[in-house]
Amino acid sequence: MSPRSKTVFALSLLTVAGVVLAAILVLGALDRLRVRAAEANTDFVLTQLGNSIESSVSLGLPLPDIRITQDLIERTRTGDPDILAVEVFTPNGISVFNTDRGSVGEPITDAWQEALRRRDASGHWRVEEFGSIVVGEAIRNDFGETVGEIAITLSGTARESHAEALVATLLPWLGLIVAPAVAVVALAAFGLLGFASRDLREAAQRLTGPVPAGGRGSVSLGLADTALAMRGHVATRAERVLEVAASVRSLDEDEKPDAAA
Amino acid sequence: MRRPETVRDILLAALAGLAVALTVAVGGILMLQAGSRESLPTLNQATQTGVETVGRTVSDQLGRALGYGIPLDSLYGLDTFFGNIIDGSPNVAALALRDPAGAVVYETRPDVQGTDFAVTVDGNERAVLVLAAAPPLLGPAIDRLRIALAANAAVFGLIGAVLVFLLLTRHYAVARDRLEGAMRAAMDDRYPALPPHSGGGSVAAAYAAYDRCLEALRAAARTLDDAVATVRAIDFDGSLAKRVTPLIAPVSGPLALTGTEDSEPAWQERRTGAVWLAVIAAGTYAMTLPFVANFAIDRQWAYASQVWWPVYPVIVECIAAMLAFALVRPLNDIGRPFAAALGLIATGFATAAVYWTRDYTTFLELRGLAAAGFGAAAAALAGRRSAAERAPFLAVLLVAVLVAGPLVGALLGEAVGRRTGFLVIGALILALAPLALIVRRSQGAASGTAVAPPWRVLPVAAMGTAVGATLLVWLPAGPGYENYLLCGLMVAAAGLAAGLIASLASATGPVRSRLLAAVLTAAGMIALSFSDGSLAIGLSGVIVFGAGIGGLAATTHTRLDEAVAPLGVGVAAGAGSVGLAGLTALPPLVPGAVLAMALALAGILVSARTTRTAG
Repeated sequence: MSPRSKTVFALSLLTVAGVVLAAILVLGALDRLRVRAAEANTDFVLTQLGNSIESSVSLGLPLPDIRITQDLIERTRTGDPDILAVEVFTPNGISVFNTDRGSVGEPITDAWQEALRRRDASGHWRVEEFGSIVVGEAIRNDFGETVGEIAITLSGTARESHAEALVATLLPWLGLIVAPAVAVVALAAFGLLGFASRDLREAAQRLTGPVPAGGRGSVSLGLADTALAMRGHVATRAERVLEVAASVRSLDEDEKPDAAA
Repeated sequence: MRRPETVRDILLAALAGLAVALTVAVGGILMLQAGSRESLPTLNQATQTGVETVGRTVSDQLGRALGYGIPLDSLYGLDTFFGNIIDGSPNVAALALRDPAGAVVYETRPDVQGTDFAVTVDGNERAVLVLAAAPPLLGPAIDRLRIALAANAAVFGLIGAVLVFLLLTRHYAVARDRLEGAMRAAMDDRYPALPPHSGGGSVAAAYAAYDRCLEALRAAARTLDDAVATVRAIDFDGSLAKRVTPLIAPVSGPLALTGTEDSEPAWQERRTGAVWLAVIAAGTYAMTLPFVANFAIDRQWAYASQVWWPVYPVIVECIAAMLAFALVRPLNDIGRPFAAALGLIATGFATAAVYWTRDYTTFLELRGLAAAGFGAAAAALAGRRSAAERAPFLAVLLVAVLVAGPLVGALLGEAVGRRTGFLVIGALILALAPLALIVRRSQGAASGTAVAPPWRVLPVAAMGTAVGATLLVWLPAGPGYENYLLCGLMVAAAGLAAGLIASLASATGPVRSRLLAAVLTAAGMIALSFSDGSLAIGLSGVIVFGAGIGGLAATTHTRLDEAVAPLGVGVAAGAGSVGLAGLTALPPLVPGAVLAMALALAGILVSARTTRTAG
């Protein structure tokens, strides 16, 4: 494979890599948009729920005694099909209100504990578990102390189906785009590199091909002119060397009669 | 000296890069359109769900207020309340409250159209809340995607242009020079041989044509040789030799052709495949630049203050890379390919393994291993270059390490996230490992890490300090935290400025150039320290900074062996200076800028004193 072909091949691979990365960028961005849209809803719900519970906490009620919380979290769950569960738990991780009432009194999982430790500056935390996304935030009293946590579990099914649909759409497009993209780049590169190396080809032609009429071709290229000049010089020198060879041989011929005499 | 064809080569390379960039851009646009069409219904549904949730909640709250007996037209603080709702819910673009007859009580913008929610008190409709949904495919997320697609097209176009430029300048131009030199020599009756060239193509054809062109002369020379041999065979008294010598004297040049194997070649072969593999490996390794410091922050570490979290991985990487480089560099030609392959394998595995890493110490260990592997591979692959070759090589290296690598890494992070980014980069480095065994390399054992005089070491350390503080710690842990695209774009802007200045600056720059470069570097760092989130100041700062480090790189006459230790120590010190700034509440890059400036000035002073003493 010539260096020109190797370069064209490398440019084609580069184009494929660029188009594939573009596809992944589109997939990632649109998938994130879907997640953000869902999480924006959840953040809003979380804030409203937190505000409602915090207003009761401000009245001096301990978290387990705020009975309206169970009603609030159940209304929240029925209001959004993406929400699988809503849970309120104490700072030491014991569930006090839960849309799954059987889980009240149970401790939260280690993954949630880890996510709580890594919460962001605004107090939000997030963990992905069993294909679902769990987002939560702290419930604080008037002194800023954490008195509990709210967690909303979102179904990952909608996200997965959206991502799968996007992949199914983008893959055929990728197939359709890659072939012409490679063809365009390969043709352009072949043309450009051919143009860049035309003087070398012209020189090769002048060195060994038929001699152009008048000694020069239609295109005047420095390298080709040198090639033509060299070819002429070499031919002249070859003739001269043959003449010298003939002269030397004639010495041999002269010597033979002398030797015979 | 610049060749006359250089401008033409730059134009051709730019055109090739443009072809790649436009094709990738068109591909990206088509993909965005197809993806948007597919996503729109799902995103609309998610937005609508959000609007309904907000609508229900807000109408309930308004209903409670009206239930307390507050008249609709006396509801207090609606502007703040609605403003908070819009700020807290990106799915809602506007809100309006109207009475049952349709008269507007309050609206966040004129003529709000959208979904209606009844505000009821005891089952009686007292008002209507109207929510306009935000279009899901407009706004910053899509603008950001467009910027990412443009950057993607630009970086692949740039890599393509560099590839073509290298072919034009390092293959065609070299071949052209060799052929022209050989042909001119032939016209001068010297007939140098050209290098064997397999694989076809214009260069191989031209070289073969040159060789074929000489064939007639070669045949004539052989005929003459035979004739001379015959005559000498019968020249019993030496009388013929006296007559032959003047006869053949004018054609002695062509006679050399009968022994071409012994003739001196008109070329000197340089085997540079390994060096270019080292550049590719460095560029791929640099793809992790937008992730390392911010990944470290998120791991947290109980044993150190928060300000040092992004700093330690950089310091560990420097130490590991320097040690591995010093150990591997003295290896012989047999050991070096294996060291390079093993180094790349270690780097690839350690980089990919970050995907599964959750804790800080493991991350530190993996970064140390990755850097050690990279240091070993770089030591085994890199050759030694002459001053004339260093400038273009340096420009390509700067583009690979500071433009293409970080930008592609940032795009990868934008597309698949930081963890998967590490995994993909690790896989790419692993894919390079087998090439280390087969690439052509310069023969001869390399020297170990050499000790250079202080005036050569200090500017390199200054450059390392600036890069370590600014590009490896401050940018990824500050403005680039959770914004890999911005980080990649800013590093790339600095890298482009550095590459441009490095390729333009003279390799024998005077003291004044070095001083200017140091001032630009420090000025850029100080501007960045006070940019305070301003994109214009940030971008100007990184460009000035990039021009400065490009100038320092171009005016530093240091071989790779001499540069590794000061560069590594400089980078570690630069990273540490950001931690120090955090502890002392100084602006983040000011200690680094002062240290870099001091090192550069010390280098200039020592250099001046050395010159005076020598004079």
